[in-house]
Amino acid sequence: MTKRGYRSMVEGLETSRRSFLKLGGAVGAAMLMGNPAAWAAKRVEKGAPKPARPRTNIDEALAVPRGPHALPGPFPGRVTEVHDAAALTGDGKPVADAVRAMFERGLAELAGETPAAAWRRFFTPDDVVGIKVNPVGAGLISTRLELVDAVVAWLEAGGLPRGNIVIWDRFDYMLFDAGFTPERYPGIDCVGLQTMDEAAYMDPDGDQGGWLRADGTHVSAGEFDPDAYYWAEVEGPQRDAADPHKDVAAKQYLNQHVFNGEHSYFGKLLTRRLTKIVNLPVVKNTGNGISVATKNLGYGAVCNTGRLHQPLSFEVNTEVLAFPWVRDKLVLNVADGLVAQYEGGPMPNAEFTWPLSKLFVATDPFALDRVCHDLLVAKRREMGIAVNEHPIFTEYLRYGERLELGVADPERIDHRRV
Amino acid sequence: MAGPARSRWGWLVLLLAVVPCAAAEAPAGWRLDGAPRRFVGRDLYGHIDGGAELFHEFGFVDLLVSDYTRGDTALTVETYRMAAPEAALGIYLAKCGREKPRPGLAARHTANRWQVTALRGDVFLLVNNPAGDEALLPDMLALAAAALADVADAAPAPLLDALPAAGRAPGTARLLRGPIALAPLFTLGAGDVLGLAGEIYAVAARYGEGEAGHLRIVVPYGSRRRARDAFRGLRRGLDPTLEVLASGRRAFVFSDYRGRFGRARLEGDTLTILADMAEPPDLD
Repeated sequence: MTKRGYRSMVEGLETSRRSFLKLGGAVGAAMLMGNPAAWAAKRVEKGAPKPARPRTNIDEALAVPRGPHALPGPFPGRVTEVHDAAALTGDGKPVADAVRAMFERGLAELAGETPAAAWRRFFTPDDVVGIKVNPVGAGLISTRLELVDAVVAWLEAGGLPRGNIVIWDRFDYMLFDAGFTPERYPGIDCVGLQTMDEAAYMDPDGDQGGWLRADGTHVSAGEFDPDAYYWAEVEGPQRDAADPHKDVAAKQYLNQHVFNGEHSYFGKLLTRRLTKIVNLPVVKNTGNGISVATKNLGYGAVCNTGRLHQPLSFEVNTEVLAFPWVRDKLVLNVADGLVAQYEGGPMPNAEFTWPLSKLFVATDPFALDRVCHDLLVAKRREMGIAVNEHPIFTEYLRYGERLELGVADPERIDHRRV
Repeated sequence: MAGPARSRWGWLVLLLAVVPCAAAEAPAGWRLDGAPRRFVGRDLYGHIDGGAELFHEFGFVDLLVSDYTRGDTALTVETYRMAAPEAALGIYLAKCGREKPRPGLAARHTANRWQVTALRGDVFLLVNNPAGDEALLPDMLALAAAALADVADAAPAPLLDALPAAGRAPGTARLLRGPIALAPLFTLGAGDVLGLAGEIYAVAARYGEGEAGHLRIVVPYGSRRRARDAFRGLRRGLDPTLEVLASGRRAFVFSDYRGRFGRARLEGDTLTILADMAEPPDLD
């Protein structure tokens, strides 16, 4: 893909249909009189102007014809929420059998068929299936091993060889810290797209050999596909020999993000090895938004993401998922809501976690995120946490709907509880 | 203070600012595991990627992360030294949730089996228990007490007094020093739309309950001119989803994307904003 693109998304903030209905009828002349009673009847229908954003190469993603398994998959807008109060022990540990039963119930309700039949809908025995976990906050809010076990059991029961399963995340050390190791999963590859040298990060003047090659490249540079990238017109910090502070910041950035230019390359694991992806995010907030299905891949499938947080934020969740290496391979999302976090995310914050004892199953990650967004907003209200429901925090979901990657309109989401 | 005396004090302040906090003495049975890790200034992104902005907005000095072990059990202490007691209070109020203090720790704090969150002087402190074992709570509190033992108990300025006490919802008071702290509460506009410039503390809290309640933000600018400039800046930079319904020289009433209402009003050197109201307020 070449270095081109059009100005990405943002068609203005739209007041939802629900808001229109709530605000209701009497408009117009009364409002012009300027009294509070008239204002109360006024409905808000003004859109926001388009803010300037960095250009991206989203048009190139959209130009690629969709594959047979392209998002939003066979069940657009459908989200199955499974609850079992017995899924956690009294001290908050997952109960493996209960989790497996929840997964199978959720899958059956989603697909309207047995788990075995659902397997045949998504896979063939030749597939190489990547299970994307979220290992941040190991032990507290990371994807539970018991859920991964349930998915692995389902994949194997359908006829997928164990050697065709890969458990993966962007960072190898986080994956291992969260318990996704070869010892725990014999016969299954546990793969981080990249490494990061934490000791070198802490001591930028010390030994950098853990991540930096003599030729100045990152040891993980070869793990990313130079021909498959998300381009955005913004760079990470650049090395600067004349400014030691800037130079250290750039070195730390490169250690963590592999590259610091305008390209975020997809991992070769996605572009060359995996044929299908099962996404197992957790249910947690990130500021006023959430970090669930779309963010787990939006910021997890590519490198050099630090530069994207401020200027593009949630848009990255949508645009990265529009590229064929995710769009055409992501067949199932199972959000781990056994324990969820409503405040303090995306980093783990025990003060704000609670035992939810739920799984959320969907082929459509945007509908799943919409359901989880509303759930976390409701929990924040219940707990007296400040809530800002400005449309900007869910605009990326509507953007996904405009790109036909999923359903974001709550009125059109088929939310099933079992 | 002027001349040589000011110079000496200046050096002392600088010296205190660069001397790192020491790791807390381990409670009986526990030992410090490895060297504490220190994050200074922008390095904080290396520890809390995606969450450091709030600390920087309030004024962050350094962070010491110390691991303690007892057999297979581990606890981590994070000692954040902020630029001032007000900055530490700002972080604490943003992070503490509904406070549930436990006996055994004299400092302001909230605690559960996963985490102790505490405040003293210019230090914001976390003790993390990744295993969530309830039996470790006394040790967590002891570690917090040890880590705070040498911290001067300097009281922050009484900024929250600018908020009326009547009707204030418990646990909702916040300090604001820029857009990051404002973002969870309400979107008034892009960037530093209140003109706090990292220098002025605003205060905010919710009043009343549920849909009948509202948000109040009070910004004492310290000068009439600065307050007037900020009021004009807010009016010009108002978020596009907010629609001004009525406007005067010193106040305007607006509606938001949810069909709720608010008002910004200038009185002397103070700007008071009401938002997320069920009914539109009077202009004056």
